[in-house]
Amino acid sequence: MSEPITVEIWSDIQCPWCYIGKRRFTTALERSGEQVEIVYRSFELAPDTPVDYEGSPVDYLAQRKGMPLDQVRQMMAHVTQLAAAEGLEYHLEETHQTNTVLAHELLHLAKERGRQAEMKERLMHAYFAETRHVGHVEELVALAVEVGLEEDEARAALTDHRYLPAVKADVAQAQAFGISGVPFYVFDRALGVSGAQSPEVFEQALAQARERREASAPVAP
Amino acid sequence: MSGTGATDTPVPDGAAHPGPSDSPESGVVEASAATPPGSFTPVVPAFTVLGSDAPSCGPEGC
Repeated sequence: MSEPITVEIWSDIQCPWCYIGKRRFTTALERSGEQVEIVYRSFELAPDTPVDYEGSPVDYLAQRKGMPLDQVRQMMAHVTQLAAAEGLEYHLEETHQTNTVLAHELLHLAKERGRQAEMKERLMHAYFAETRHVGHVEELVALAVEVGLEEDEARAALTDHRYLPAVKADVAQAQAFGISGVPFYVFDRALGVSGAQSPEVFEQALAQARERREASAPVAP
Repeated sequence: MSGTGATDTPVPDGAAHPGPSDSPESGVVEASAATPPGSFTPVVPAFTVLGSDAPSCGPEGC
């Protein structure tokens, strides 16, 4: 049996293209039948955002991009349609814009406990489909418990910030790679894919990563 | 929302570099140096961007 390809995925919880890319990558995995080990890496799109941002998501994007409100609403409607095509439910105008550093810290705890994939999916669904606030400790603890993490440990980790260095290390690694946008996929630290590409592009990357592995494998005597 | 990935923008030496525009491998980039997965030590492989224009989110928005 072949060794799994390591796929590191830099993304943020509040990134609508990251969730769409997640579905497209899953489609590619199902089609290819490849064995992979996925590691979710932290990328903070807006680390300066307050936990309790007081405007609407439309206000936030309009300020951030310097765009008229109507244009932002049209953009959101377009992304919502594309998300629906991937089977995702988005309520972008009702989401709670927040600082995602705590959610990233929780993802690192989940990684250590072997529940990172479940935690990532739960956080993104909570944010986009359920419009839950993913910036408060107690809300995050409730979500953590849902995927099987221990309540007291999750609360303690989010309070003493024991995983903050790991979050910042991921962010530093992204900067070192020159990653300026997410989602960003790195295969075996050798191949990369930028953005919410089509499943076909992800399939191509998986095939290339497998070829590289086989080419570098030692030949049996 | 338009693409804000590592393509089509000037990048410093050692970071992502745009590849040939006629590459058939759109969206795939390649690193020149491998690093053990899981390492927390930042490394700077010379990523070669072979071409990509997929939607993404960056610090300035999505």
